[in-house]
Amino acid sequence: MAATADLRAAALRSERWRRTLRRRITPWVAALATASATIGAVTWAGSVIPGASSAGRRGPTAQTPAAAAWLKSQSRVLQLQQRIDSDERQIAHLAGSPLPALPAAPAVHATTGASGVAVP
Amino acid sequence: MLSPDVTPVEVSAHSRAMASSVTIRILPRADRAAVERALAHALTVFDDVEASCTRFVPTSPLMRANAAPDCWHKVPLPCFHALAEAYRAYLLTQGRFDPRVLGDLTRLGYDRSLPFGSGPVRTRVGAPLRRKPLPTWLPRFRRAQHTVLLGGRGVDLGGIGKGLAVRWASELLRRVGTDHLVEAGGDCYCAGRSPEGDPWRVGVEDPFGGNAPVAVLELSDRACATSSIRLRHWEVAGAQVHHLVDPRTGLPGGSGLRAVTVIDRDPAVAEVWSKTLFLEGLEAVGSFSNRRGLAALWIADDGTLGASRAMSRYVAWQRA
Repeated sequence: MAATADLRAAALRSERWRRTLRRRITPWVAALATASATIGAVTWAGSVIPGASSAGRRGPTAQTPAAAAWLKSQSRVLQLQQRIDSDERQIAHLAGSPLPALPAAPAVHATTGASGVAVP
Repeated sequence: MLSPDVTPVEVSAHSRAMASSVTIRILPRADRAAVERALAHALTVFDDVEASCTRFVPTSPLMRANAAPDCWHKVPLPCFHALAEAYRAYLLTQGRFDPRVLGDLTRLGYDRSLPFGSGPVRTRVGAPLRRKPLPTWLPRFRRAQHTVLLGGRGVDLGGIGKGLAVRWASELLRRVGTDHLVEAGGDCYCAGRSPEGDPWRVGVEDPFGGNAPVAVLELSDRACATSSIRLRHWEVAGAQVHHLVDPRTGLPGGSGLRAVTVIDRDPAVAEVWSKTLFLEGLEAVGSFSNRRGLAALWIADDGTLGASRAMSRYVAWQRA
């Protein structure tokens, strides 16, 4: 029972943490998405409108300050996403895999074994 | 025999029957007198089953029927129902559980209650030989008269008798308390909840004789039974044999296994499947139990622990 309770508590903690993380980063991701779309649009405009960008190159690979910021933000989002994925994998592991062995057996009410195979 | 137990509400009773200690624990939902009557009645069930179904007393109703298996015999009610349930188990397992192994057990020298657990046991019989498969079992039952015709061969109810006694005892107890535990050696039924309010915890004995269990199961309204060769093995013509005989060969079966534990809603069914799975041997026990959806846990000769998919939800703890 202790093992099950511990596992259930661990799973709940992980789930709670995952939800908190998701709640915290969702507005962040939305803001970043808006920003990246804006930066992308500006960068794209810079690549096609002569003089609008210092490099005049196409797409987010252009090493403008805006493009660098966009790449940095994408990297941060990716890290957060990886953390969420890892946590979800851990939850799935707890739910689907055999229970890990505990150091000592819990107290029992009865025993099943050889003494039970006597012939009437 | 009856004593107030650890918690103020719990009542327990102990007895010895069928070569096992019998323990009943109950959280009563009726007055004390009714509970005491039900407990006494439940313990009597074990004595009744033993008296009518033993194969070690030549004058028991079962052995009288075994003496002339092609004749009709009137038998006491527990024996009649036990024979009918044994036949049902034979059909359920498609002949893998077959109580007609009585002749094989006798041939192996297990014709009396051997002193298991008190040192090496030797018998003076010839080397065990493989025999031809048995013909289909076709016993006949007349319910109104409680008469049976065993059909050709004597039977041994050792593979189901105790599970049935646990079932019938639990049915009697249900009237006075839905939360109870009936334990008879390896067979037990866990009804409702334990005194702590959690499922009942049942330890699976180490078949190598260790003090600590190999696993702990959490059960509520479930039965569990274990077939193990830890105690009941002996020597025949220099070879080690045990009491779990494969009806297909007439020889001890279960190659590579030490013990198999099965969980089921019914104690008799759990007992039947534990023996049947044991006889499948280490190679087939996993695939067979998974195919059938049986909750089974087994311990191999090398001490490794295995479990079917359906067992995982009952395992609260297992040895590292």
